[in-house]
Amino acid sequence: MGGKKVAVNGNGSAPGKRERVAIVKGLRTPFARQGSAYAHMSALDLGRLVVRELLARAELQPSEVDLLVYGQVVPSVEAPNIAREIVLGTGMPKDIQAFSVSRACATSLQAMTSAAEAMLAGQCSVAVTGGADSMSEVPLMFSRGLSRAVAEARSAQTLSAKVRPFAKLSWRELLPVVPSAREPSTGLLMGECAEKMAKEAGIGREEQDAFAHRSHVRAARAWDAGVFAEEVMHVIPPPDFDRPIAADNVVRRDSTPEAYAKLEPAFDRAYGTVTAGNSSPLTDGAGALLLMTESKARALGYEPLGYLRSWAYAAVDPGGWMLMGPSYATPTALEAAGVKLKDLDVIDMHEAFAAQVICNTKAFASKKFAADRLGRTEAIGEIDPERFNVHGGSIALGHPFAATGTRIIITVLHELRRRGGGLGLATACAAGGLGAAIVLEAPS
Amino acid sequence: MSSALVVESERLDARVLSFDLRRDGIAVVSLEARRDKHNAITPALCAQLVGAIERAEQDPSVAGVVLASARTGFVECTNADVLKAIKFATDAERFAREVSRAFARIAALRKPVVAAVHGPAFGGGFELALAAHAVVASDHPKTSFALPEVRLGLIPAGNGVLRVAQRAGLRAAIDLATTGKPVGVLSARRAGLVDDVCPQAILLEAAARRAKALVGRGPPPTDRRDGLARLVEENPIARALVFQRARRHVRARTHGHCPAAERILDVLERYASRGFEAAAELEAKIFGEVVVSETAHRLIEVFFATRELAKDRGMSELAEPRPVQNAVLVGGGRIGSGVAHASVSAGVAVRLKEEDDARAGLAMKSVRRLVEEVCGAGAETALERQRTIALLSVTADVSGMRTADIVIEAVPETLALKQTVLRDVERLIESTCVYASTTCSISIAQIAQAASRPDRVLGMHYFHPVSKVELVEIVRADKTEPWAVATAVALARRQRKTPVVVKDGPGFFTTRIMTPLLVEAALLVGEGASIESVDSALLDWGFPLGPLQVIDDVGLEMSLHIAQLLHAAFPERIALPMAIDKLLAAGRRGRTSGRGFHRYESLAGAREARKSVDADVYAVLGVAPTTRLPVEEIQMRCALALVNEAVRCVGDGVVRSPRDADLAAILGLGFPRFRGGPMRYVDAIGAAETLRRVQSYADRFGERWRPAPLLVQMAKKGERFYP
Repeated sequence: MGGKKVAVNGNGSAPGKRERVAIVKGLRTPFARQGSAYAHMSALDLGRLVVRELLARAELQPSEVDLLVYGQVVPSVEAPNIAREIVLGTGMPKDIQAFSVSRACATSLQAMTSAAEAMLAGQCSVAVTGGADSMSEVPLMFSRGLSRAVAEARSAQTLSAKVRPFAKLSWRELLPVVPSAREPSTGLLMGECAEKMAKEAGIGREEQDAFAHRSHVRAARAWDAGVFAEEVMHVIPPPDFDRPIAADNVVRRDSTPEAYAKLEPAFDRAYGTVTAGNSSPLTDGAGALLLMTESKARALGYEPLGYLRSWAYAAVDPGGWMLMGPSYATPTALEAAGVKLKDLDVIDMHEAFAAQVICNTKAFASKKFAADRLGRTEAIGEIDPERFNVHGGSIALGHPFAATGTRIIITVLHELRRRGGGLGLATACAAGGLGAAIVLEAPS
Repeated sequence: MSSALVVESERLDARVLSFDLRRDGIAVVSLEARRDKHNAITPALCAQLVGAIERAEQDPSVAGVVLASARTGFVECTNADVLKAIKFATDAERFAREVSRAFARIAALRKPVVAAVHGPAFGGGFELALAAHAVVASDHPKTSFALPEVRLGLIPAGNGVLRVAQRAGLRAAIDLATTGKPVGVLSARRAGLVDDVCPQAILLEAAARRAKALVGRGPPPTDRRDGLARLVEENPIARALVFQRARRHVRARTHGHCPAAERILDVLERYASRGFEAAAELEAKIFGEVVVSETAHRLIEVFFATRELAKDRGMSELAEPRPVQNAVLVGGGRIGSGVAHASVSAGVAVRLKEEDDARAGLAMKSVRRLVEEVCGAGAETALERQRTIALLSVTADVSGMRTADIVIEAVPETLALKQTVLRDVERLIESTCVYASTTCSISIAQIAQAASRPDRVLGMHYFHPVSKVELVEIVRADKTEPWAVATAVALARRQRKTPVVVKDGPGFFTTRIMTPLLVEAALLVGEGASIESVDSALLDWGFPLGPLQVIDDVGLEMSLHIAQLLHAAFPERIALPMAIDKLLAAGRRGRTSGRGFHRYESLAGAREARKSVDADVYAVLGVAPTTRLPVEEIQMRCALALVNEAVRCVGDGVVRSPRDADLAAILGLGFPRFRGGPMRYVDAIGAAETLRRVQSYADRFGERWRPAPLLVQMAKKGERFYP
């Protein structure tokens, strides 16, 4: 099985036997390029905002909520347990349980499934989940040497002992350090992983650029058609509250294929094909879901957007093709749901890089991949472009790490409803070689 | 203090303090008035305090004393009931000396006395704590200190002002005593008025430990002023300047209507030049004088009336208020955002609906500014502010209304719009949700014609600026159910407002009585009185703003609109002010447009536009400001226009009592507090004299001055509003 480990949960082929987890409502903020609309807002601010608005729109008494699971990927020193801070900072009853999760770009999927697990275990019946990130608020660090010196000085008793540790430092150690985006295990940047996959799989620049263009065209069309109106709240950001933002500001409304060709490769100047144009940008934003057990939703009179059918997580060696998580997690989730890829009406895959999406779609269709890597006789399945990332993806809409999963869930469920119900797949790759796949169903 | 009074109080609060000797030699003297919710400084307390101090002095096993309170607050007031009963200056003077003597005994005890303060220590309570050798206070947000006597037209009588000056300097004493404002624990500690701060759970222990530490070391030095204050205060010239400035400030604030504040400065000046004893002597004498002054009587009456009103249901029916957790505000203008702020500050989650994101953003910004501006006496932290703001969400659609317990509508003042909003919102809310309109003039019954459930529709008339004006007029229409009224009253109280329930009708109470005053002011200008002369006459009479200034602030369109509305209801009594018409025709719409009766220039950096005299206005009005009317005539015509209409409202049952009328006028319209309100004012000059004056204007100006029937009747029978 290629050194992967899979975690799986699902209702099997007989839905209805057990209580289902309903996604009653979902909401996200507009996604904004790093340091733009939300320059003065932290992930916590964004998270509070979207959770409060979700509860208000759901017209739910906050006291009905049992659990809040939330996440952020860029760590915050001020609010290590962002979930609890959201409970305490939105006027929700203080006795609501809250914990924070982290699974890189699949963080908010993890938040959702963790809450679902608690529901299936009978521990709670109403939960709010989601994630938020603000690159506008990346904490600066100090060098190891300086940190050690401060710690030593703090425990020292005399003035001279307090000063001594600092004398040993070099000037370089006094400078602040921007936390590295490199994988701690491989020392590679995410983009370098995508670059490696593109080269080894032989995916050209044109193919990647065309995919990015497609993402922007579809996202712009969706915004123009009002597809997102119900999914995205308006935000009036501080400090002046005079520049409301109602739509994602990353989407190019005037995308042309030629524009992509002009960009320099971002990670390998000489031979690279991965550019800022065919990658997802650094983005600020937040999202939240309201989950209930099916019976609770019915008791409170809600008509859910849809239900969680099954899910699976996978992990691969980050030193190999790190971003192949979707191809490993998806077959397991489909199996748990008792369905085939061709049964799905909507598929949404997180677009970290165009190269990563293309690699994964090829793997989905490949019998060889299935045999070599998954130990299966059949390929996962050929993806129908008309059901795939129908309203664009992270390249065009932006990618606030911990909010993207929630965005995908919301969009898949709304799209399923528009198509008259059916089955959907939400899948994402994540740093560290992780992958997630969620099968959703919407009533017809 | 007459001896009969002393005897009676002693009988009533037989024991007001306990004496408890601990094993470590610390005697805990604990105040515990049984009769009252709050401890108060009474002759009985003073006598027992002296007894306890004597016992501590003589008992060799007592090493030190801790003064504490067994009540939730330390001591909240000097007993106003006692003060009310005082008829003669000499009695009051004797009371002051008695209190001072008791406190002096504490200060002079040769064993350490430490006050342990938790909760409000106001007035005599603060003075008592200051008499101790050290003060330890709890860090509870409710713990605060004040010398509020000036607000009752009195001066502190227990040498507290002098002790503040001793410990913290003249500047602090002047601030505390002339404003009556409370200070929180942290500022009190910074100023040197409190020696230590600790959690309430260990307060008694901390105080006892401090007392033990002081045993045998003599009282600690009382002077805790910083170097600069000492330097200034010991220099006679600098000192004179400090007092000069203080007097100017007090004058500017009170227009000479608060003699007590000025007398406090006399006491402090005496202290600075001739020392504690001489100043204490003067203090007792002045206290005697001010207690029997008219000003103090009126202010004490208002104080009691406010206290009574705070317990009033506002109706004869018994009804339980529904709990309010969620409020929806429709409209986020200056009233809407003010109410939103008052609500989130009360812990109510608010969903504010505006027309679009831009307006919603403005509303959000003004609520946030209010939260940041208005800080309580306690040490309000950035975290608390953040929590308060987090209770507000804004929207441009109609989502999130179903969970509302009350909807407060604050859209512009037109009937059609208010009815449309009511119709739209009513479909979205539960049957237990109260619907309140903030209209200041449109009849609630009229608005409620659009309602399918008019029984839960009422008015909650807030005043601009909401964060400063205490009054909320709760307007009850014929069909409004008692539970809806009770819910609105309870919410207003949580918002730290004073609700007065009035009957529905044109202009309710406040708008109906204010309009004749404003119209009269505009008519005076039409007769050729200058704008400044009208405004300053009323400022001198004790209103916080001149009437023409008020019209500019409210906006000329709005003012005219209200006048027209009341004219339609009472055509013979409410004249239409042509002056406003003419100014509007010339594009002068009030403060917001930069011009009205005055000119307003917004200056860079300043939040408030600067007001200036605008001579061009007379050309627009077609008059020359040459008529020199006597100040008294301006004052009387404006004030009596209001008073006469207010008497009519009492007669018509628009307000439930003269007390409600007085408080509504004082708290909502800025009627001079020291005059006690329009009804007290009639009582003070007599119904017959009031009638004579109104009648004389009726003779000159005709129908609009026709005396209120109730006034005529009272004059005939020689009746009063209050016994």
